[in-house]
Amino acid sequence: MSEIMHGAVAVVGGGIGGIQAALDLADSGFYVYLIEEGPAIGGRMAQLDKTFPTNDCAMCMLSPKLVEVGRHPNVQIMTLASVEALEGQPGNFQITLRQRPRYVDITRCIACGRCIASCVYQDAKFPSEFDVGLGKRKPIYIPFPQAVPLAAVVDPQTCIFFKSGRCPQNCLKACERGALDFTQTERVLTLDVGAVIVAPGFEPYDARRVGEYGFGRYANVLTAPQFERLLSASGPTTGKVLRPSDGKAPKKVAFIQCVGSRDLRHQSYCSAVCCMYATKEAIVAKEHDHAIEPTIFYIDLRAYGKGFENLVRRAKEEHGVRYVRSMISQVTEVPETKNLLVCYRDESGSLREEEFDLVVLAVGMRPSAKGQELARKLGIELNEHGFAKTSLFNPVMSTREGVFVTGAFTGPKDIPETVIQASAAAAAVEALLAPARGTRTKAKQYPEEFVSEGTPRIGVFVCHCGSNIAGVVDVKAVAEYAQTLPGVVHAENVLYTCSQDNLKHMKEVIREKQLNRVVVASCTPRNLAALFQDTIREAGLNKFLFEMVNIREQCSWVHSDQPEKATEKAKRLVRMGVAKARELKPLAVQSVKVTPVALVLGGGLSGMVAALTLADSGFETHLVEKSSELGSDLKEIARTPEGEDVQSLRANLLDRVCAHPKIRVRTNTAVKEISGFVGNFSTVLHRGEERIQHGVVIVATEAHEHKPNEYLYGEDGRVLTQRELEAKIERSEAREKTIVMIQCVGRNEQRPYCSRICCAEALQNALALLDQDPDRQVYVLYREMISYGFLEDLYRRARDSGVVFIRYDEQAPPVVRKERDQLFVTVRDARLRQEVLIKPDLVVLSTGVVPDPYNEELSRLLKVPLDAYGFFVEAHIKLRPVDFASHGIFLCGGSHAPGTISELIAKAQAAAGRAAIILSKEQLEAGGIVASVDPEKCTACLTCVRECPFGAVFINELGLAEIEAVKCQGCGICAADCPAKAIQLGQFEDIQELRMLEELFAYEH
Amino acid sequence: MNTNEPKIVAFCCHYCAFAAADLAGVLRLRYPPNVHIIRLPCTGKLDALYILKAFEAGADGVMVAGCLEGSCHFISGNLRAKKRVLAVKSLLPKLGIAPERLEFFNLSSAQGDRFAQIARELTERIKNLSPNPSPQEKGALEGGRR
Repeated sequence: MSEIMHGAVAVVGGGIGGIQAALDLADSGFYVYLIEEGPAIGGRMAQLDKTFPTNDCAMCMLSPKLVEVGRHPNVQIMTLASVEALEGQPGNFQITLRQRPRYVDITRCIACGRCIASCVYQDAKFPSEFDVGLGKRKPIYIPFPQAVPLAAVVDPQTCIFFKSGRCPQNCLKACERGALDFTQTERVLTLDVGAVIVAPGFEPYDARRVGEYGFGRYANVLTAPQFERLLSASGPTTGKVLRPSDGKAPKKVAFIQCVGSRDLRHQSYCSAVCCMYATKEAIVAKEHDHAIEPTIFYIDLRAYGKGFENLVRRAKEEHGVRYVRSMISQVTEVPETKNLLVCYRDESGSLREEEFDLVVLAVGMRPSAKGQELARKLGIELNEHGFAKTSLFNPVMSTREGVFVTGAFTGPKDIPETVIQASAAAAAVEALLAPARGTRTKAKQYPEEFVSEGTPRIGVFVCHCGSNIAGVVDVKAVAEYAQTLPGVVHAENVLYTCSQDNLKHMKEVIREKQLNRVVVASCTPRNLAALFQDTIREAGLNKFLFEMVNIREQCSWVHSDQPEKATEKAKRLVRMGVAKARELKPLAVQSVKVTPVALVLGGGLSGMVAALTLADSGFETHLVEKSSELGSDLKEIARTPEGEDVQSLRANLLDRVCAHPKIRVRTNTAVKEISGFVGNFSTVLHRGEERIQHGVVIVATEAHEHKPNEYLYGEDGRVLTQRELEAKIERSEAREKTIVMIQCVGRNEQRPYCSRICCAEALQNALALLDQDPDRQVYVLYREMISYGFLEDLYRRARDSGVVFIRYDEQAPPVVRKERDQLFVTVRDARLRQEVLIKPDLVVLSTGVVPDPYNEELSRLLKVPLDAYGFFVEAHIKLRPVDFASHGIFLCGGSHAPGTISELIAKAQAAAGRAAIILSKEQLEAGGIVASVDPEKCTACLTCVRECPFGAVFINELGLAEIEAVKCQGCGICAADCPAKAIQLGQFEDIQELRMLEELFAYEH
Repeated sequence: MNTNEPKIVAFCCHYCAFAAADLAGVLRLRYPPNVHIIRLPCTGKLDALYILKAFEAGADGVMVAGCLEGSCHFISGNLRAKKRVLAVKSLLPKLGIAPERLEFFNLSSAQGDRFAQIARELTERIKNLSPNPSPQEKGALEGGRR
């Protein structure tokens, strides 16, 4: 560790993982350089239409994050940049970057698209990277509509100017902002950073390398990423599923799984996400066009994550998606129709052929070539599959100290796991650089607000946006009209409202004319409202005395064929905006002091890891465990399926937790009562009625192996669970010769979910049994083999070692009986369609995991939700996997969902990292756009208490509803539901909304 | 107001429907200029009163557009809004207003084309209805149907 310590971090890779890590770090006192190879951040997630298992729109989730990171004062996004070298040591690294020229000045570009329209290429003719080649782009283009930075980029590989030097450069002339600059050159720069997070993501497997499926030769064979673009409303067909060969809607669509995965000719591992994304794509395709009949050809259906089981069931039952267990031998094209013949071997071994209109290849994830080069430059090692080498117990640490790795760079994984690892990596960086926290971040200073109430003095700024608005709307007429509206003391036209010179001008006008309300009529408030609010704040106005009118995206750009009507509409919209502005009130933002102390509930693996992560970051942590000892969940586990020693992990954690000066452990202790809110909780413990003050809560209860009451378990000593077998093997007491393992025991209607870890446990134990005695016969009776990711290698090893795998149907589970002290197992082999009889010496049950029963009480105490099976429900399954919807409360451990030890460690680190964001702040800002109750009108009917999704409403000592500003998220549900109209939401008060409506219809031209 | 150009108020949630309307612009799609968007943080903020006020003030149509079901940024706001819209819809005939003039939609922020399509279709639909009672007439309606 260096003596010098920089409070800045380089995050390499601008996908969802990099973005999450950057936001977590920047929000907790570190300056971040977010380094992206391409022209925009967003990564693979930006290209997705929907995400499984909820089929939420990917862009809806991602876009607010893009904007947030793009505007963050402590994040510097560097696009078209790649890493050249990393020197130095943890705390004091020098990272050297090479940044390619964009040929467009992003501070001037307003993404109007004029340069693109004027390009000498009249038609877009180069394959669009964003649309995976299905759409076309020009040499100058905007990567995608929601791109951050939102600016054009020139691709010198295709630009005529760079290729021939002879181009009229129409783009240069067309740009009204002078943003294009063809003299830009590559630059090399070196930055001082304390740590590096590496998140370069993955590459889809190149389907051309799997020649038998005809990708690249047959027009109607697509890859899944391409199909995703077809499904996307912003994709090349605006969301219509059409065949590339003839533009017709396909009827029969085949999805072929494991393309490039689970195949020794390609990649031996399972890509972990393809079963689910194919299921999602099949459902979404069907939703887009009901005539589509999707068929998914698969080997094992790996629906092992939270909510996955449900999605597959819905696909089958509600959407009629057909699943065929098979091996595909080849795909051939019917030349006349360009239809495709899929030749496959079904489970019984018969060869079949079926014709489809479209084939989608579920290509796997592979380590990207760029990621591998990056690893070389950073001096970190890769594993045998080419992914970043990590240790199971330190899943985000690379082989070089101070360099952390996250996301698909460490192995195939989905979005929530990537987000978890990103937050875990951020937490690890925080622990490393804790002393340097806040040394590189900037906090902006604002002048004191002047009292802005009283007669409205409104200033209206109507933007030309070059010709984007002015080319359609008569902006002069709009400004003149605004001048006539009541309350308006200033109205003017501005060429570009968002330009630096105009922002300065706005501040001057506010002072000169003593404006106390500002209306900007320009583009969408979703991008720039925060910028203008900041500007008026710099001029001493409360930032909520601002209203933005969208006359670009929602006027000039959609009504360019009717300029007069567009102008009328712009006037009406401005009139509405001014009407609202007249009613605006300054909103107070209060500061609430944060108690920088954490409470971790649950002293298992996850609780210990979370407590250590927080304590290492410098925060006092109370670790509270209900039972008599810490780490009891690890006691029965000797090693991981990969062979790592779990007992030494446990001992190490126990030592560190007990010795840590910042951790206070309480065992045999339950929680009696929790009150307060984010930043300031107060908890009473049962033991001694002790009261703890703390700023955050982490729920870290674990899941436990289910103890069955079937298959003679508990009646016959020769029937064990997997954990019990493991202990027996460990004690070298296993002597039995014939062993039958039954998977998915106790998985039924009430407990339909996959427990994710039992298949690997079975493989581990089966291999260990054979290791001790190769003459043994081990049978594994399974429904689906869930050996996702690198665990696939274990499955292959088990098959090669002679373990017999027999698949049974969910409807025909195996039967165990005892006759004259002999155990018999009968099972119907689903593949052979035959009854099989085995006489085992030992029957081992994979029983899955169940959540801690204590969850129910915690759910009640903390007012956080549980799902139907007793697991906690996170704030958002994709992007907020370790947060609860209620602020300041986080979750990890098996209480959230079953997981491997490695996954649980990452989740615990992530929860700690998320919690540290709050603890790192001296105070939290509360208020602004929040709801408040008028006590005169409240009748305490409890409607608001019931309807608030965030538990922000409580009944105060006067018996009336009151809203905790810190908890309120500003949705306004309570305000709309209140029968007494006693609740108002700041910035969206009823009077403001109603005035807008009145003024809209009062307009006469 | 020109009867050929029904005035439509579109209450859109910030995260999805408003973003979809923005995307319609970015994609330079077209829809009639008589659709006026009012941004709400969430459709859950939509008070039933706003819809009635819009009709009273002279709206010929009201559309409310929230996130896709299950995707609401505020968990349940779009479901609350849908309920309220359906409740108001059932009331409208008593006010002499055709219930077809009010509609609830679920949109994702990526559905710019669908926003434009809805705006066009709703305009067409309302054009084909007999004219809405004018604000002056409404007072004299006394709950009668037209």
